[in-house]
Amino acid sequence: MVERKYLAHFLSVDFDISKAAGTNDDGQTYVRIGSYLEQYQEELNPQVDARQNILGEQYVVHNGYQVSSSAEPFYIDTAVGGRDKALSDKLQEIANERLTGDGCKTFRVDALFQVTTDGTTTTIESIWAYREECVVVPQSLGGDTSGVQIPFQVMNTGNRKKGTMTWTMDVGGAFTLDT
Amino acid sequence: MANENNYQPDVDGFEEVTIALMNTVNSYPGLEEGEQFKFSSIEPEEGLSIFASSGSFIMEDHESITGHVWQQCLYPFMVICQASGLNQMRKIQLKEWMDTFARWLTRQPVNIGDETVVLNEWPRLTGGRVIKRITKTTPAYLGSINEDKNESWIMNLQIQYQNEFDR
Repeated sequence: MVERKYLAHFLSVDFDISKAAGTNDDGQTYVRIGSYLEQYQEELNPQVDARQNILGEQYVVHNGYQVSSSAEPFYIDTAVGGRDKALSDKLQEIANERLTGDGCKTFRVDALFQVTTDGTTTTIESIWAYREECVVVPQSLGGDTSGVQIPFQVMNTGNRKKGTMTWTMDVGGAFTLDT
Repeated sequence: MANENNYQPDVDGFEEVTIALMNTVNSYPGLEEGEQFKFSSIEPEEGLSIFASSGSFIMEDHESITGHVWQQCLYPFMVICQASGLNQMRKIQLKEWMDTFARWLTRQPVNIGDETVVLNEWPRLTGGRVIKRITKTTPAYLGSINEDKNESWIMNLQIQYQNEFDR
């Protein structure tokens, strides 16, 4: 069984999908999400409709997927160098400035990693990684006494591309598009 | 209070929390000059002690999808005041002193002399451990009187702290 931590979820904190690609990556600044999430999934929400024709036969109309994810709880991190600081700064800006449209648009990357070892060196590489444009929308600001929370939703908006992702637990994973 | 026997101990946390607790209680502005709390030590006649009731233990253990672990831990402890030859008024004053000390340690404002004092932050721990709360679980009460008329006044408190690390 694959340990859950090897399916990683990243968001770009640049919130600028037109940003020029770097030499070795797509130029986005990614952070890994999930420090306090015990559960997180890409909800595919398939648009499937089972119908029956006049001959009594069943057929299926599949109109694709409406993919989204929900991150709750997400605690605001104000510590300099904190793992979730960059994303919580951006989420607070979106919430406080009531941003919409391109202000909420960024890239998400979901990647499955594999650990290999040759006895002396351990390598962690992505088996697959996909990048997709998405809209990030904070759902609330506040929460209970466990800490200030700003849970958010990520809604995919298409332009899905395959590539490779570098392993990290923190900030700074690099995504490279397949050629 | 939860039954400590059902939970895993936080062995490293015990030492760290004990040191931070002792530093904090010995900074209490209501102590007389030269007066100090001692750890797990009963004075023959008079004195102040802190006793860890059962060590630190892990109440809840959570692991995130990234392998980040956070544990809710508990450190129950007793404050014991040894005194002898107390009349009724001194007993009332001692109980009041202990309850005032507990209010200060739980970060409530207390009056000491003409001043109102507050413990501004919980005792600081190192590494991934952070104290979230200190609470009083019993008021001060007379626990025992020995044959020499030495009295042990007891008060129970607990420290809730969080420990975080990556697994």
